[in-house]
Amino acid sequence: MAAFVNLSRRVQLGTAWAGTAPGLPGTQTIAGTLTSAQDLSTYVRSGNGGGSVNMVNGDNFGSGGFRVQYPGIRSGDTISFDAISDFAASLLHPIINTTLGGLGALVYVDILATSASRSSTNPSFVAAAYISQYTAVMGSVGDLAAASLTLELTGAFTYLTA
Amino acid sequence: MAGFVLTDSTILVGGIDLSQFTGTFDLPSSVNMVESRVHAAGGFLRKYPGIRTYGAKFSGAADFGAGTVSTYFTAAATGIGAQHVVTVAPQNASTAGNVAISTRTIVQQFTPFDGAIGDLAGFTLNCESDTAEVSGLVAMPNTAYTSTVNGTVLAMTGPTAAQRLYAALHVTSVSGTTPSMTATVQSAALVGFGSPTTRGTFTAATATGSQWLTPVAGAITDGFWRVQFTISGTTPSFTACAVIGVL
Amino acid sequence: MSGFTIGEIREAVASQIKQTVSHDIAAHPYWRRDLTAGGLPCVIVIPGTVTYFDTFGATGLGDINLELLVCAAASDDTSAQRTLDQMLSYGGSNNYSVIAALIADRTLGGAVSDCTPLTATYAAPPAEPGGIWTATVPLRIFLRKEA
Repeated sequence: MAAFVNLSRRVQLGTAWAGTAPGLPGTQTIAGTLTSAQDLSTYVRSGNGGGSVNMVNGDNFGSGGFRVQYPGIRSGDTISFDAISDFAASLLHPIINTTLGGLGALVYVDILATSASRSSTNPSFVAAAYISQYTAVMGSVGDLAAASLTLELTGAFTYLTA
Repeated sequence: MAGFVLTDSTILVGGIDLSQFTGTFDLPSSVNMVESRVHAAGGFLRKYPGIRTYGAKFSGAADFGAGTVSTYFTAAATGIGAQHVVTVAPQNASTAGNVAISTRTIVQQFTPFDGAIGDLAGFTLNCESDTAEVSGLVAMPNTAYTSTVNGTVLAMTGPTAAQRLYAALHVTSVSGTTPSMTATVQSAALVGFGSPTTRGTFTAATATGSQWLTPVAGAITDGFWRVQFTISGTTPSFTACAVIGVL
Repeated sequence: MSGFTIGEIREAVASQIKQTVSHDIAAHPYWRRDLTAGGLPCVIVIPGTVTYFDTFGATGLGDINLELLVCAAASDDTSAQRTLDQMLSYGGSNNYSVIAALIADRTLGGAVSDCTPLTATYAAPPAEPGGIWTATVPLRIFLRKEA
């Protein structure tokens, strides 16, 4: 694979998982897929997954005046989707508000760089998350009606290649 | 060295050459200023330098091919939380003696692909240093090595009693049967390097990765330095780069 | 991969269109003053801005902005416009679509990292009856240089 233009990113959310789900307590080896996945790709214009680690300070008198730090808790970065609003049956708003459970609901996320199947060159970013913010419609007169969705990730996340 | 345009910088993070994926880099450094509010200071606030912190931030074009940026930093062993040496040579690491800035870091944040519809998919990588950051010199240029070799002799003032010698090693490609490469940092009083002294030895490298030499305390009065790669195995080949500096 | 060879990139774009569009459309990798030479409808590749350094290094990423001039003509204006519309349409069974031809293989047979048409702009109608109707399709092509 080479550098690529974002054209076919696949964004899927779901309320159930087949296999060992992301976000479970304890040390888990995440595997499997979303069941009854809701494909939001058609509505989403931006939004992607990533991860961070909390750096824990370990400064001490023996460190020569330099900061010493250690990796601590890992967390999935908050994901913010810019989307196109749609209130029609079985489309964006009913999916988020009803099917997925709306604000505060726990969902599973599966994001791929392209619409191709999972592979080493197209891994799935998978995580468990809560819908922490949802704006169903916004914009000025003359604009395409927009929506926004924010997911706060919880627990373990990973990149699956199969 | 005069002003220059950035086009051919070498960016090494751990065991991957990020140069061809990176469009922007930033090497922030700061010192925490500690306030001292005391009398007899003329009514002015006094400050003192405290802990120094360094970081390395990169962004550029995402790529999920074998051995590329998005693949490397989404792998558990080399992704967030992993410790990597970072080296940035602003003009390139192809020539011994070029400036190179090195530090050891922890990968604090990585986004493997981002951007909106129609954008070139990008990546962002944030690394936070857990030790000193040294402005040093390329001792062994970033290229392939297939046999034991002495690097170019570099003129560099050795560390004073209050300073230390630092060294970094990156190995970005290995091939051959039972390949092994040991890098040593040597110094000598004369440019002829007739009687070199070994100042530090890296752990033998048999795979891609990076190493940060345990800093060597001064004072070392020698003014000439080099790195030696001792390579063994059957048809071994190591793409590697070594940097030395004093702080 | 051909590396950052502008002529090869122009040829690859024209070749991808010529080989993939099932209708007989002429695809010219180089500008020509007589748009009718070689037959209509046709596509002409016109270079624009070249960026040599999107990322660092001798094998770093660069990009080249090309513009496709899409041309159609007929004995009547309506037929010409219909042909132009078909060349710029995408999706469905359309054997005129230049857009579908490019998206079918965004690497242009391995010559580049990515070549994707994102927009098309129709030009003003021709001044003469039976004249050539045109539209432009910008292409931003990303590819790695080779040392």
